[in-house]
Amino acid sequence: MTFFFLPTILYLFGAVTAPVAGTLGLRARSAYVSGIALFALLIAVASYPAALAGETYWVGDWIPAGSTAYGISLSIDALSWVFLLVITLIGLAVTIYSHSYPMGEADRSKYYLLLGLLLAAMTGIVLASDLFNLFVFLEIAVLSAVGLVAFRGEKAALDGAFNYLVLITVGTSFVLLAVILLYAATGTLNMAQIAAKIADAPLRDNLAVYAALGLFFVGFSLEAAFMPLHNWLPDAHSGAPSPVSALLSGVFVKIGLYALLRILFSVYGLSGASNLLVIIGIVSMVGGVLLAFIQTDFKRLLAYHTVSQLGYVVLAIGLGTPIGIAAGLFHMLNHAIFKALLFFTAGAIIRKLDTRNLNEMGGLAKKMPLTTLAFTVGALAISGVPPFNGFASKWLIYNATFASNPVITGLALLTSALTLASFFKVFHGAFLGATPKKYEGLTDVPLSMAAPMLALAALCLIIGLFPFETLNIVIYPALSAVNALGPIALFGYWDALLWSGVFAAIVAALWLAFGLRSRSRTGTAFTCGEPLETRTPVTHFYSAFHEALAPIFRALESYQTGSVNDYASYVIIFTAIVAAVLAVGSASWLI
Amino acid sequence: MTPTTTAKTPGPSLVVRETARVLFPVMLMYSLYIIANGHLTPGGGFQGGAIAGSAFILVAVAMGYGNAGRLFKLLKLSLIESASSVGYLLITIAGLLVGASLLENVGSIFPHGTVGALFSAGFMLPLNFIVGFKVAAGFFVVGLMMLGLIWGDDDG
Amino acid sequence: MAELELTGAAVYVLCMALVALGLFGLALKRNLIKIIISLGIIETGINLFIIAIGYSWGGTAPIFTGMPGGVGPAAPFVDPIPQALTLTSIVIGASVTALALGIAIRLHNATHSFNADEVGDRTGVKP
Repeated sequence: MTFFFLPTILYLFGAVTAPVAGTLGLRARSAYVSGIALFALLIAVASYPAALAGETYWVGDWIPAGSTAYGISLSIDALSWVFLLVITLIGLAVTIYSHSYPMGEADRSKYYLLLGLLLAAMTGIVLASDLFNLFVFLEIAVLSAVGLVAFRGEKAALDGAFNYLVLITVGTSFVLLAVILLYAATGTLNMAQIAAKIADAPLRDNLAVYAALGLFFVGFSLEAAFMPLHNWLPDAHSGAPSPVSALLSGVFVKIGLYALLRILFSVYGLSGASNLLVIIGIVSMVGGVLLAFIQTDFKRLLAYHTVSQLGYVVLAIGLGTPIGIAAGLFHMLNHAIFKALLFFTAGAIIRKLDTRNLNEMGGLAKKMPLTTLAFTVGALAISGVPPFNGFASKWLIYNATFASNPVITGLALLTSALTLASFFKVFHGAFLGATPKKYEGLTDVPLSMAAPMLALAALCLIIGLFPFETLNIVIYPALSAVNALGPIALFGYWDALLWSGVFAAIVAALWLAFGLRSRSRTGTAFTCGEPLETRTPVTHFYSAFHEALAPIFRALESYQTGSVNDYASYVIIFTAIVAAVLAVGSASWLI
Repeated sequence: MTPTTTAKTPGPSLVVRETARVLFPVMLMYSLYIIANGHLTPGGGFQGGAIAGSAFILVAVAMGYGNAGRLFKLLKLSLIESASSVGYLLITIAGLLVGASLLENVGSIFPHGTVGALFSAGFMLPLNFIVGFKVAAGFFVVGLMMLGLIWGDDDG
Repeated sequence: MAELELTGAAVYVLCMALVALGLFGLALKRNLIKIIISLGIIETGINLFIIAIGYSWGGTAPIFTGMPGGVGPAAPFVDPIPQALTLTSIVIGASVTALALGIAIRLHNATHSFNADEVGDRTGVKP
């Protein structure tokens, strides 16, 4: 009995019946939707054998006659299963976390409806093996995501939602155009059949198929927020309520990446290195972290870090080697976990303090210990510090890039250092130091918000301590789906505990060397109760770095104008560039 | 939310109101015809529902936002809209429960009938109606909300 | 026959011109409503393109009018799949337009302007 498609139906059912459960009370409704999310996660885990074997389910029993496919099909393989796992896992965490998160005056039943629709649509995207089905689920996900971003109705959220909707619709229109071009060229919409039909002739002969490749690339680049087209992401992800930001940043952008991989590998059957993806990866990685460095809004900072970490993933996948793709997928999985964790902590703080500006926070370590612990784990994980999962996947990425070009490894290491510095700034500003007077009566978050945070933090640690097991079970089977078979040779001794010991020793040595003479004073006489800026050697480093790179920061800032017209112009220019690359070169320039 | 126009909007004239009163039932009948014959002729759920939605919005524009709101409550359109979603999902799962595939036109639950007759094609007829009601209610809700945002609770 | 082929290609070019027109309207127009209309133009161009793809010269509508055992259709059908795809695309376009208009109206209520520059939120990048 095939049941791998059930999460989609389950989420849809939960979405439309949540208001009914709401008549029984708030707790009943939250328990109901959390139960459905848990059930979906269990089904996803139980579909692992089906994923390894690669199953296809024909909706409505329209089994293909001969070799022509008549019906819509849903299929699962190891690559889909990784993403399905991510969706259901983060979906469960978000559903539990949303129970006590304030949503403004809007009706919470509508929130659960949109959330269920978004989760159902995302699972539909990863399970679709029919091009048009993919498009329809993508649009459903976009519409529900926009509704969720604009949920609280504040002006910043509305503006972010508008830009998001307009730009993403341009992207999905390109995808639809590409689907139609492929249909015109091959006469079928089923991915496996299209792959069989276009595998015979070289790509460049068929103009429709070739143009469709470029259109798919641009469309999904817009969805997955690659660097030149990432402009909608900071506005949308910071304007949304925090559990929604966790879901969008942690899962939804990766679905765009999944769709691109599926098209490139399964439909077009390409394999090998892609120069364009590597370049985009490097640009996203470095640009994202530089822009994150100067943010003072907590959630915008996290949103820019999403762009940067996705740059890592794209860079690793663009290398085309088995270790590269494995590293990219592993980092994608880990990023979903620790980015959701970071957004949860941001939500907890913003909910308690009613501000998003880092300059107004301080001294939260004493008041909110659980949140501080969760944030520390998340920050260390995203910076690639052992023994957490970020270290494991970044180590794999360093291995992969070192084999092809050590300069890239250097850039990746530099970005990790900048990430750590940026999060140290946040930690220092928000959690250390003295608490401003107005936050005297703070308590920590309720259990329904703390439990998902701590569970995700524990998962970061577990995956970090057992990376090889995770790789073997989750990631390596996916490699066969992307035509990337081959041995994976690591070098360097990789043992999480050993490296955490080494790291702790280095940190202890630096501590002793610099003495950590932190001159923190609270001048109640002169500054009316506000604590003065604390100065440690790290903040000296931070401000020196900031002044040195000021022109670069100004140039990067001016790229994010806030106007949808400029963003549309960027899309047009990017499309022209991709068209030029394809016209002059061949498909191998793209991949 | 505060309406943006503070001036009193002049109501529609007598001609507009009477014409709308005549057109409204005609449009509803036409939409029901298109929905019901969706499995035989061009049309179906979305198309018929869009026409019915336009009929409702005609009422809202020609006879006032307040009257349209009363029509909404009278026809219990919010209940119909929610029930349509659940109904569609139930029909989707019905195939699974019997042992066949998802969204399958199982002959035992939904009789197939003869080709070309009105009551035929299994679950296409109920599905068309479900979709038609949902789309009509959906368009009406969207129209009412937009008019409400612009005019406020204007009884014009 | 050459005349017919030219007409066929001209239809595709016109549809792509509509899409390009919509894209440039998106990039150049400041009014929120005009941006939404440009989005609609893009979608209209793509929908027309889809229908044009499915058309075959001398074909009839893909409705089965013949009873079992009776007379079949008079001419070959045009392809029905693009028509189904267009229907779905029109529904999606309607939903996107409705959502975008709703957001635009709320923005107008908050700022009393439909201009994208005044409505746009550029905060957050200051160090």
